[in-house]
Amino acid sequence: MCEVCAIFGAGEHWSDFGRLRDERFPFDDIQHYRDERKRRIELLNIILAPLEASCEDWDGEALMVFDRVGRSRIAPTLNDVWPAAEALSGRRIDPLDPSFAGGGGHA
Amino acid sequence: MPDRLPLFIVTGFLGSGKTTLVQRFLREPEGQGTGVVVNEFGEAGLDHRLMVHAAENVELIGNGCMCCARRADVGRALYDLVRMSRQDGQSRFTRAIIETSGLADPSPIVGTIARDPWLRQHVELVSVIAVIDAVAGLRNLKDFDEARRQVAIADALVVTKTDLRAAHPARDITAAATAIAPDLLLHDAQDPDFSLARLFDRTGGESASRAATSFTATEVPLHDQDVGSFTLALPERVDWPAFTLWLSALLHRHGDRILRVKGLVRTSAGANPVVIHGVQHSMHPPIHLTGEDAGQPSFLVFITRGLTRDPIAQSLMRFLHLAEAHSRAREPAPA
Repeated sequence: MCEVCAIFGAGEHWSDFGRLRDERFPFDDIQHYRDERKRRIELLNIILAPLEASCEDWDGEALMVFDRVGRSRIAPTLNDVWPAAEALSGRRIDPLDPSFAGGGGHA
Repeated sequence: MPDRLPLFIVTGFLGSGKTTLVQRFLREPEGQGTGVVVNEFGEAGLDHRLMVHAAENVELIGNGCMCCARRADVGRALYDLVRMSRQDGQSRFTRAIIETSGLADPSPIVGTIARDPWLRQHVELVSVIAVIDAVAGLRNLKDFDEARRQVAIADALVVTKTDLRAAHPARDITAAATAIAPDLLLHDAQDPDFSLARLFDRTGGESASRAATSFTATEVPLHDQDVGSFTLALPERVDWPAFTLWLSALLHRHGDRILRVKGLVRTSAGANPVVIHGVQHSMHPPIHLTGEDAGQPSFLVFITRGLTRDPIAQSLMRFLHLAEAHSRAREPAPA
């Protein structure tokens, strides 16, 4: 992503490609992307809650993952969130586990 | 990023005819300007001025999973090819082909390109082409895990040696291959209509996306560690932020057993569907379909090893319901 446009563009990670239009910097739709990103982080926090971890937006570009005592790791993309959260919490994330995202606990 | 170097990976078991196929293409006018990365000298006989040699040097990273291995040699060879293609402002190479060794698993190559920021900016992986020969191919698919993995990861399959007396009928080969990867684009190298120029055309990605909208997946039962495939029907409109979170987490945990995931997804974000495509832990940038919307429902095809449909389907539905409930809770209460 362009340095100048970082906070305005749509990301380059595959998960950022559900765009309203197929443009790299679709300025008109930026509010939509900001809303989607905000919602994705909220859902991510539901997944991370059983691990006593959380995450925050980091400048509209990366994600910052925290454990319960405040230790943090930067996750440049969504792919990097999972190993970061697992390293901080010492627990595994498995979507096939019925307890994923708020069940009874993680393996 | 229109100036990325189009890349094709040609894979196939020992003796399947990979080099012959690449040689044939290099002799055609459309093959001019193609740089080739090979794993093996000797069996090649290719014009060495076109070649960059890549010794099979695999670095295991992360959790030691093979698809997360970085093919440092391939990365360096591609870097050299891109540099050569830009030399003096002249386009010496307008296309690159990596010919893997017969026993190679192509997924670390795909992973290397997907994870290297520089390569992502400069190289466009158009398609993975598997070559299978009609004489020994069926037996190889039955006996060798490497042969099954090569087919599982491929976008297109070229059946060679169908003209030999000992050849099995092409339909038997294609049936065995599509049982592993139902969305393969199938070619017979002896067919008079077979065109290498089209096979190595930059729009190979578009034809792959067309194929993704038209094929019918056959359900293949899985036995233990077998490679098999299944289709997952998706809701009419998929909640994109929720779906990407789920798929990303699934590939993180089970990517070593999900050889490929591919599909057509109508999203909450855009009017037209997107085609998604991933190999093990790596996802390619989705392709936006344009033009007339055929109205086909969303679906995913998984090619897995020892991972069945039901747990994946149940997991996705659970998470989409959770996301829906979250969205409803987020909406402001009516006044």
